Amino acid sequence: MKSKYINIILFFACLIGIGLVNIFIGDKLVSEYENRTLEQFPGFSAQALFSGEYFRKVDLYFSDQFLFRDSFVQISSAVKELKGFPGSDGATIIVQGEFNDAEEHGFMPEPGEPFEEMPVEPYDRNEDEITPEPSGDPGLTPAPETRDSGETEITPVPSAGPEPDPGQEPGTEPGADSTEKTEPTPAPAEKPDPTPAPASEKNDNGKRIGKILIWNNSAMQLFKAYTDAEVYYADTLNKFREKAGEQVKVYSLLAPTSIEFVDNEKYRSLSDSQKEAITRVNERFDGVIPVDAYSRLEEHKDEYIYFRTDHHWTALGAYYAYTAFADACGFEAVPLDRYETETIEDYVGSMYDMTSSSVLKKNPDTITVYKPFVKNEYNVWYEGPVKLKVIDMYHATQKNKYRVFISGDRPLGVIKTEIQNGKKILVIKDSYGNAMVPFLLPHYEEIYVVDPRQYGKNIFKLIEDNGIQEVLFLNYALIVGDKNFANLIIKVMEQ
Amino acid sequence: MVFSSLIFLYVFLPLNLVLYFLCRNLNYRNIILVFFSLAFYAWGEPVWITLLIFSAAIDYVHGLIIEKNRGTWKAKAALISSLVLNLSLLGFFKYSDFLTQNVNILFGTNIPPSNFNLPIGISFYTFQTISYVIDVYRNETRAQTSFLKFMLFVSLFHQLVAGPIVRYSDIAREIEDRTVTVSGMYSGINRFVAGLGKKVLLANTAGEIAEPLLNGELGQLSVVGAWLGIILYAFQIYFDFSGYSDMAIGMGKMIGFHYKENFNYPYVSKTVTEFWRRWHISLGTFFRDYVYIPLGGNRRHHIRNLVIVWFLTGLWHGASWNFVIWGLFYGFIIILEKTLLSKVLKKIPAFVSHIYLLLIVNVAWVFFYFTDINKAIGYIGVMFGMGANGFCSVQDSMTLLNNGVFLIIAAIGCTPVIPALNNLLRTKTDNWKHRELVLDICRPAINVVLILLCTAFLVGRTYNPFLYFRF
Repeated sequence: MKSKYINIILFFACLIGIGLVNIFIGDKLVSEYENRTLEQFPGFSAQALFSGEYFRKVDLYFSDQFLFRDSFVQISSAVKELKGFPGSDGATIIVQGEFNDAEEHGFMPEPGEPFEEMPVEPYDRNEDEITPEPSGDPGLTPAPETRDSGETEITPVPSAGPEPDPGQEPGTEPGADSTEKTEPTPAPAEKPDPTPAPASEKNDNGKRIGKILIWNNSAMQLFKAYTDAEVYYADTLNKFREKAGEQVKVYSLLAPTSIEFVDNEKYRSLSDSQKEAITRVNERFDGVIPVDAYSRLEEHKDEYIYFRTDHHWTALGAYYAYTAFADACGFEAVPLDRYETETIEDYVGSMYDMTSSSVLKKNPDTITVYKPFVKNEYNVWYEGPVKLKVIDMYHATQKNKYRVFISGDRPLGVIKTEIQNGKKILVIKDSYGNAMVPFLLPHYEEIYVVDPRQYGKNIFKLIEDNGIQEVLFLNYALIVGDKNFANLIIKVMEQ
Repeated sequence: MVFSSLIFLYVFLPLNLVLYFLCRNLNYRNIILVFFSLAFYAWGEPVWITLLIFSAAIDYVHGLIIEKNRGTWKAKAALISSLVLNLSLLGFFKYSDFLTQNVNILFGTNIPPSNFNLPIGISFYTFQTISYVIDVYRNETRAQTSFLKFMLFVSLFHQLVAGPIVRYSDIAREIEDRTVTVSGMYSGINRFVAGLGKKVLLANTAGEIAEPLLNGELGQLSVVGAWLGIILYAFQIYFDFSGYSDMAIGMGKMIGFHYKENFNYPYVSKTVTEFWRRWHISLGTFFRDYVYIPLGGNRRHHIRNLVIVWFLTGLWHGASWNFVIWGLFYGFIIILEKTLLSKVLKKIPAFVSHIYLLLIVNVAWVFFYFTDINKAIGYIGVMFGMGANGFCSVQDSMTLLNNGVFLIIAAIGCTPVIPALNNLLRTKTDNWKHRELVLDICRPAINVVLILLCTAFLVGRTYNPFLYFRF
């Protein structure tokens, strides 16, 4: 009888102990592990109380700030990996249904979301290039915080010299003063890199189901063709070309993803053909020039052209796509051996974040970067210009190492090169574009890079103001699986 | 609030229990329980808590009137008035939109829906108060004179939002006087943790796997995939619902309440009649005692009575035709079993009748899952090969393989195998010297591991649907 007390005491010790510690530990702003903002204790309002929103947020807050949260998350995914029989080849399909928090945490902004609400500061809370501050004066409010003081012109003046406009806060080199940095205000914390949502199919309930195949130490998003969205994308680009006028050449490069070239017919059949989808889109183009990156990548499918733990292509894959683009434009591609390279080891990318698969964690990727040999100046524009590097090795030491390519997704980036040929190109891209843009440097005097997920200005004004002659839509093929991306393009056309 | 949330587990419940045990006075204990119950309810329904209190007040007053005027027409009038009020509230909040929808379709009218959110647990607490008033009228129990104690019966958070439907007469004595015992605490804790494990580890996982199969494109689904989807749903709904009942029963035991069992391994039944004696027992007995038998039971209009009961059973689960079909489908099978099949079912071997039962139950769950009846029929078609994407697609075979271990564990969890093993262990070790001590050390260890594992699962997911909010 007495020994029954053990059960009772342990039960209470467990609940009360963990409960008390949870109440007294401090709150965190960000989960590094999950790469997202953590819920903070909600502010009180009568309206939130009556709608039930207040208590819902307290619930979220409590679980987000839970003691040893990361370890508990890891334990649960480790235990969940035991739920199947170890298959002969270890292939698994992981479903990212409505229970993935991609949408909630801003992987894909809703079409039409106003720019003002887009997270600007949060992108690099721990990195310093966005909050430019003279290193000797850490007390100054950084530029992005002053956005309510009036709209600053985002479109750079074409004639702007290498020196930043004196009226703007000068940008600092990433990481240059990171040690002495104090956070000016607790910014709303880091948002994840807006990675495209996984291949999704909208079912009758409007829920998105994305599937990821893990096989052979490699995670691949499955593609679900949706012809309505293909037509919609092609028509959007057609309309774009029409509005941009005859003097602007419009190219479209849709990059197939890794599942397309998986070396197993059975698993290949799990995903709809991207080749057919790309062909359908290209056939519908009217005046838009398609770039056939597909065949070029297919020729090299046995090389390391896709990451295994990340949904992106490697710089090598991007290079082959670039050669296809060179062919379409009629200029000669720079041979790869012209570039000096550098490698970054131990990259565990987005697919691990989405699946928590231990296989991926155990088999990290290597990133090879090809260093530009063309002198250039790269400015990213938020309220004002922030000077960055086209290959930004600062990110090699961070979690999201794919950001070494043009320093990640930005609303607008402007690269001015020493090439004085007067050629100006605008690249409208998702994150696939990041790895390919550096290869364009030898061919253009000015390269404008727009991410429609973040850009909030009229795109035609940008083209007009800067005398851009070429536009390249550079995205991965999965964006024609739904209408979201096309809607974003429409948004920047209509701003 | 839901039981399977971290804040319930680590703040609400320990706080409630500690305060409860700190008070020795029963009256204070009751106040604590009512206060916590209202807070529990307000967490999810800050507005409709007024409805809960209003509903309780109505029945409290009616109970007193009936008691005072026992045997006169006034008592009868009070009973009728109470039933009308209770059913109107339920009808208004739960069924008005369903009704206007159907009226609009039938008569081409255009009555706008009220767009009320269904107040959580209204189906459960309304049935509890109805049973109270009827029991008082039938003189099966005395009316409760203290509103606090009556509120305790209606609002006790253990069973407020997901059952079991507790009859007042079952706990009337314990409302007045109950004791906390060590063995009650001990077994209550075990029961609670087992229920938590069923909900968090089994039901939630089954739901995650089932979701893409049930919600995916029907044309992509193979026969195996369709069966897998609905079987996983059957697991999910059983572990979810019975897990909640276990947690309620466990928490009751901890503080001296004894609720009746609500589930008794329904999936091991051999007939549908047996299934419904083992599934959601408190609902079945409610309809038996307050609808079926008053209508005449099996003596007068037997078939009619069954049809009415099963129509209502279906409708109780949700304001949508698919639930009605689900209920009537069961009614139809039960009528068949009572008439044509009764002899056949006695003769056939046990395993055949098990298969028969599981077949019926799984087909029925399709109607329970899909509110869209056409989709339900399409899905059943795929289960039997019509419009299926082959017998077993690559993807479905992978899903099967990727979750094989889980499926076996879940299947075992649906049978009384674990309690049987437990008993076997106890009898085999009967003459061990330190048996009790060893067992009493193992059990807490298992509980702590389960709690931590559930915590990990709860932390590790954003997906935590609570299915019974629809009721």
